[in-house]
Amino acid sequence: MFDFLAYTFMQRAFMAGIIAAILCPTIGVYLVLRRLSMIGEMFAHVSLAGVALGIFTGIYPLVSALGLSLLAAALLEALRRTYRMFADLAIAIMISAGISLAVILISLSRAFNADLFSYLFGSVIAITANDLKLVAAVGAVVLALVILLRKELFYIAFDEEAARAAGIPVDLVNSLFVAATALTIAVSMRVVGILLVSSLITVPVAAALQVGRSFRQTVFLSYVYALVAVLSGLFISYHADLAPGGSIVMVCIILFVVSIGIRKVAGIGGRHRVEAEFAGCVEG
Amino acid sequence: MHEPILELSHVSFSYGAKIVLDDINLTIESGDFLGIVGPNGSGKSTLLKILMGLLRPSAGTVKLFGIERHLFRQWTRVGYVAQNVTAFNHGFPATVEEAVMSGLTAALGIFKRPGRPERQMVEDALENAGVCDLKTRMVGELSGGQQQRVFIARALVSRPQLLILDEPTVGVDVDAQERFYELLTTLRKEQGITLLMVSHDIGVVTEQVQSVACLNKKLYFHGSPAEFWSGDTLSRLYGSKARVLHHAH
Repeated sequence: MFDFLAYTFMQRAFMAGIIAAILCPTIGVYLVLRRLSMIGEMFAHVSLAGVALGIFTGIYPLVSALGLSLLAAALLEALRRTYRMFADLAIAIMISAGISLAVILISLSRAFNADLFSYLFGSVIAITANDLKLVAAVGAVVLALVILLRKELFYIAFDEEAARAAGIPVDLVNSLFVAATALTIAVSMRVVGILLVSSLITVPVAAALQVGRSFRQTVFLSYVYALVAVLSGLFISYHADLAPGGSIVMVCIILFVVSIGIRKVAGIGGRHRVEAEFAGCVEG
Repeated sequence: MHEPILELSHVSFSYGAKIVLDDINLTIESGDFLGIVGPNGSGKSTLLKILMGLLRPSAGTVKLFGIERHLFRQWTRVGYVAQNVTAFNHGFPATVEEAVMSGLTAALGIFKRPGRPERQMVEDALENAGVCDLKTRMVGELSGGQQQRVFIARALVSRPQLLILDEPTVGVDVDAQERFYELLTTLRKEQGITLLMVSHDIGVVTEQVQSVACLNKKLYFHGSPAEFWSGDTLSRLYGSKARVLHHAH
């Protein structure tokens, strides 16, 4: 049943998948709690433009996606500072820019092919040794950054005004976090696919929020959910010959529904808490 | 001689052409309990934002512990409880202990992790605010009064000398308000913490504080509550038909 693990490409898919399953909730927990889940969607669209740029120019697509995502992170921060009252508008504009650039470049390079589809829906066979090295290196940087800033990120997510008043360099931490988000999406899309990568950022966290009884527990549970989803999703995708993105995210959704069930049975939390969480998930 | 904790001299602030604060001079000495009162839109919150360094005044100087505000870096000496603390995201999965620990973020700096001394500081703050028994509960599931105490514990955890409270009793029931003022009195008398509270509730505030500052763009009055009631400050502040309803508690 697990004979597929003898294949080098499956080993690479699992390694890259595990890295994505650790990175996505690491970033996702702060995005969801700050009601900024749309930023995940934004970087996915920008990554698609980056991949298209790579295909068009002949640059290694993962590298061009990383580069363009970082550029978009800087642009987003500039836009958000200029239009403070319309932060969501800045995200909407960036989504539009990303997708339009992607469509133009894909059309120009006549690239509606299997290679592009592997980026859109994820792939277990397309992950090269170079992909894995890059994913691991970037993943290590992102993880180190978030671990280093986790006190500050928690404080800002819980109460940004108090964090500012207490002398936390909120703008700097926010900029670094947005850059970390850009990198996470760009490296995670190889396994899950551009269309579904933001789901791996939000859904495991949304599920963990249903049953977590502390911040620490919520973070831990979101890792467990993401790992279960990625490992079982890859397993299913191999045996049923499916693109992995769909099966991974479908497992996430099942875990989310099960978590709601557990919550109802165990009677965790008050009504207002459920409502507040749903407001957070839906808005974001 | 008490040392001045906070000194404002000739502080003005305007949003574009709209003047919000006009030439404010105010000093708070160590051990004082000052209540800043004024009608809605009188510039109370703007003044607090300036004190907390969230806004820079258009003119004038602000000194905290003798240091100019924009140069002040001793964050742990000032605790801040923001307006409407109970309006935070109630779905946020933070325990009381985690929320209070976050008050030590600036004191710890980027590289240091909380250890045994920090956990002890959290315990002390929880005890001071009277919420020890709620340590492992989720903040979003507590009552308004309990949440308010948790946020006070977070402000107290870095052992500040000055505690700034912005409309702290909004969203808190009357019983909890009474216990809240008892807590403030204990903090001031037993721990020597200087208190600055902003409120629109003149009747209640003047019963509790040692000195009152009345603000409506300009500073109309600064003195003891007794002097406040004996003068004509109220009518100058709100107009001649102003009356204060005293709460029966």
